[in-house]
Amino acid sequence: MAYPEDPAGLSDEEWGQYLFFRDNPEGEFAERWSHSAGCRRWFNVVRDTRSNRIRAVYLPAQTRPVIG
Amino acid sequence: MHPDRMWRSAEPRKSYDVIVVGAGGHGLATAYYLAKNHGITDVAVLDRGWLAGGNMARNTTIIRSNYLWDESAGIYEHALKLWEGLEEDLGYPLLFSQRGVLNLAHSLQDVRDGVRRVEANRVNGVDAEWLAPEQVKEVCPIVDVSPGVRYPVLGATYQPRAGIAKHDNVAWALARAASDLGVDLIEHCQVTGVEVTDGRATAVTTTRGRITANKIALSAAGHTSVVAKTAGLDLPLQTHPLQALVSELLEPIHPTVVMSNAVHVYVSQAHKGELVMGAGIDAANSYRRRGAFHIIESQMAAALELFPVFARAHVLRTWAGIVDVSPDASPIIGLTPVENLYLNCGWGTGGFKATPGIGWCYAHTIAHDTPHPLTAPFTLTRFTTGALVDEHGAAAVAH
Repeated sequence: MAYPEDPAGLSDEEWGQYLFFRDNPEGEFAERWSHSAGCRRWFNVVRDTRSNRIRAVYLPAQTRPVIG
Repeated sequence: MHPDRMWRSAEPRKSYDVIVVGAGGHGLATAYYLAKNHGITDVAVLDRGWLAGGNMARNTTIIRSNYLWDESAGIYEHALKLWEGLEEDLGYPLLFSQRGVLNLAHSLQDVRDGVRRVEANRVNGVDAEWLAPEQVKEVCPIVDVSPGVRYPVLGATYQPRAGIAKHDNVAWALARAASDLGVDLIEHCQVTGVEVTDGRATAVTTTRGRITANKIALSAAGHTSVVAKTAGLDLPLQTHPLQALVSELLEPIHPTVVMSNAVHVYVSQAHKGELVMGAGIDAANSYRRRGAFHIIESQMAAALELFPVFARAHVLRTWAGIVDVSPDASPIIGLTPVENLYLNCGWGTGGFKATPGIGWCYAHTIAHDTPHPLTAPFTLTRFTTGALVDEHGAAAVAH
């Protein structure tokens, strides 16, 4: 969720969308993890919220892979 | 011999006046009050699983109305008043037991918040008292109020009219009453989509066929955002597992309900004898009805800190429900940008206590196509206007 480039230019509705609305899928969900008990590095994960199965792991600089 | 069925198991018809999505406590109560208060009986309650098998079967059954903000006190106190007459109204034992709730304070800030909440409750006509540690001990002798512990009990708020009820009985009694008034209860009928034509909700597609309706009322807890999305409606909800657990059956030892935020656990003892405990949600979003073990571990540690007598009790079962958490920890109720599509969601960790109250108000909202005054502050539009009902931390429970 990127910070808006021109926050003051947003309507109330757009600001509300930015502030409060997030994806909540039953299925593949992209999230950022930190390996806090180990190497302390941040990385991205795609997890299936129905099973908690990890579907993909990739570096923060990489784009989300397409899962077949 | 099989005991008598309490309600008719209906086959879905092609069309209804009102479809309620979700046969949990809220959905059943809504259908009941639609029929009873508004004479609307051409109603179907659809559920993907069995009746009241979601969070209605998985909550810790605590009923209270000692919320800080006026808006919350209004809806929860309305619910508590209905609870007080519900057994008689439904003609069925609900094991509703007004044994009181203690919300413990462990820090100066807890004390200040607690005293403030007691005063706010009284202004709103909600029974509330501030108790010193020795009074806490009188109400619940097994709580450790000694000053030498890591987080000593500095006092507690007490709501004597709070209590517990037997959740299954509540669901069955509501189902029986709704069914007797003509409502169709349809299990194993998952809503896979809401059809919207020219900005109006007109039908649902289900695993048992398409059903048209004049009005469609969502009440699907953790899955509400999934169903709403099929109608093109995004909701500010996040779905999380919320765990609870019970001990084996014990002699009566715990006379009230005890909640603590700082030492995070809430505990009561069910009529049958098991200690019933819960705490916070699992932090990660998930639709899987299973939580992480460290959540259980920390709530057990909290329970032992407060109740040293539990040291030799055993955990019998743990489980999770799927809850929909809103940004301000208050529910979202009312109309939507889609005509004839209504919303009851965002109850997060605390929906059970509201069951009759929300059923009453949601039925009114559906029948009159306008929010009930008690739920009017809880609209979806508050996330645009900024008029939040911020119960995070204020609600006497950490979420």
